[in-house]
Amino acid sequence: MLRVLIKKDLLLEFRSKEIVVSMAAFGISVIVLYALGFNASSEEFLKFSPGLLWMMFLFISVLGLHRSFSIEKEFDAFGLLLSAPVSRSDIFLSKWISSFLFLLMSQIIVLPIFFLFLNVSIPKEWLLWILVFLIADLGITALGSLVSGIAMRVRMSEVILPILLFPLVTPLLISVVKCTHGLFNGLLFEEWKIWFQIMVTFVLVFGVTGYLIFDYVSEE
Amino acid sequence: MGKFHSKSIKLNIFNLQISIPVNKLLFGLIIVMFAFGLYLVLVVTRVDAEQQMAQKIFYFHVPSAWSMFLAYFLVLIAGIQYLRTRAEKWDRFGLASAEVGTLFCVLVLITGPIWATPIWGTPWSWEPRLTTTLILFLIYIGYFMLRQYGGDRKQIARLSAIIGIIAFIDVPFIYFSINLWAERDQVHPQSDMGGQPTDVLGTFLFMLLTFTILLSYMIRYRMHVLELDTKLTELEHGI
Amino acid sequence: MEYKYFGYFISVLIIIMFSISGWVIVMFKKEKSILDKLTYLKKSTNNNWDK
Repeated sequence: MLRVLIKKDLLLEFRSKEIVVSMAAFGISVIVLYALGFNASSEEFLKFSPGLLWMMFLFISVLGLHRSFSIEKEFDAFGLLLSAPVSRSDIFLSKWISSFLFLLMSQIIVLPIFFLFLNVSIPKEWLLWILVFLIADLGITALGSLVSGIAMRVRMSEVILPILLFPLVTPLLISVVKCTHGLFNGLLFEEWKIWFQIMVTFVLVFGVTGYLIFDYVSEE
Repeated sequence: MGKFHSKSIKLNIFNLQISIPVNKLLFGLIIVMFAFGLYLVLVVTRVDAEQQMAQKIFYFHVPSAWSMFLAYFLVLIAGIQYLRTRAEKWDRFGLASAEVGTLFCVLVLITGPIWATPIWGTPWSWEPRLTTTLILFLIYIGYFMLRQYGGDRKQIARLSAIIGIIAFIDVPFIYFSINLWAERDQVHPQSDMGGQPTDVLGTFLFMLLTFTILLSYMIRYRMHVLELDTKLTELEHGI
Repeated sequence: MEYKYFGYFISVLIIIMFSISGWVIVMFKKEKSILDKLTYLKKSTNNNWDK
């Protein structure tokens, strides 16, 4: 059942391409604004780029999360989904995985542009780099899917979502920025291992929380 | 007001029936305790050689922080209980605790920088506990906005119960990561209260007790007003 | 009182006392206004809501 739900989200996106395209476009414009607004040399950027990078990803994930849940609101698709014989926890998992995939796809588009425009050199340990990305994306979208499931039910959801999500996601943002900083500056894994561990715990805790609590979120 | 107070203590002294509402009793107790606490803080406790009067802010700052955490913990309990039982009183309990907790949260955020200004030379230095408090405050702004725009009453109660639970799960992450992040910075005054002299420790514990009773009074009072408010809305809409 | 930082201490004290007693006063007013309305409604509709 989970596979069907994810397939539905991906198929919708494959046909319209609206989520990934809008996320990537927004990301690129933020990068251009960074470059123009800061007007800094690449050494100066190296210092701030981990924070800038993940702030930008946080912004675009809010965009994607909101869109991927508000699609369900149109034509009352969410009501139909709830009346279908699907477990609510599976709805959470499918939303989590599909928004994770959307975030990943838009990052694949945006990331080269980030390195190119801001003249930041690409880290060498690409395997660790990919791992950090996967874990951080899973964390953002786990908490993000849970919170946007809540925000979707209320008026002004586009405002409520970031207001609730940003403070809740701070520990993950701090950790991933520290990890990215370590990677950009070629520090040893041992030196920022603790931040990686926080991220993994965060993903586990909020994945399980979302799985258990989404039943109550999606009640009629 | 009497008939709306459901809970009261009934005493029988020399065949004299006396009934005192619990809230009034608590209110009187708090005033007496606060006055005595003030006496302890101003007169009994020693003056710190370095920080002098600024050190005494701690007798109000730390109990406020304690009340805030206790209140937010009660929001968690209320959230779990609401989702289990769906009784409206748990929603009222959660909302009352969230409101009172946020009041104490603001007090912590004000008194902390007032203390830090003379001692650290700067009001705000991203000290971990204060930063955690600030982030909790921001989360609870979201909580109240959610309540504002949440739709019907049952949905508001359900969704805000969930937010209360998530917020509390997040607290250890926030504190741990910010603590690690701010390692380089000023250290918060030590929390090792066991080594403190009796006058300091005693006064501190007394203030802690006073603030805890204050918290319970405020939550009870707020719940009572919320209950009346519900009654009024129901009556006005003819439910 | 010749101690240092007295002003900081007093301002903390004032802020705490004012905000908490302010909160209580606001609640008291709120309670009173609701009670007034309730009494009024009870008189005018004669419902048996207060059971």
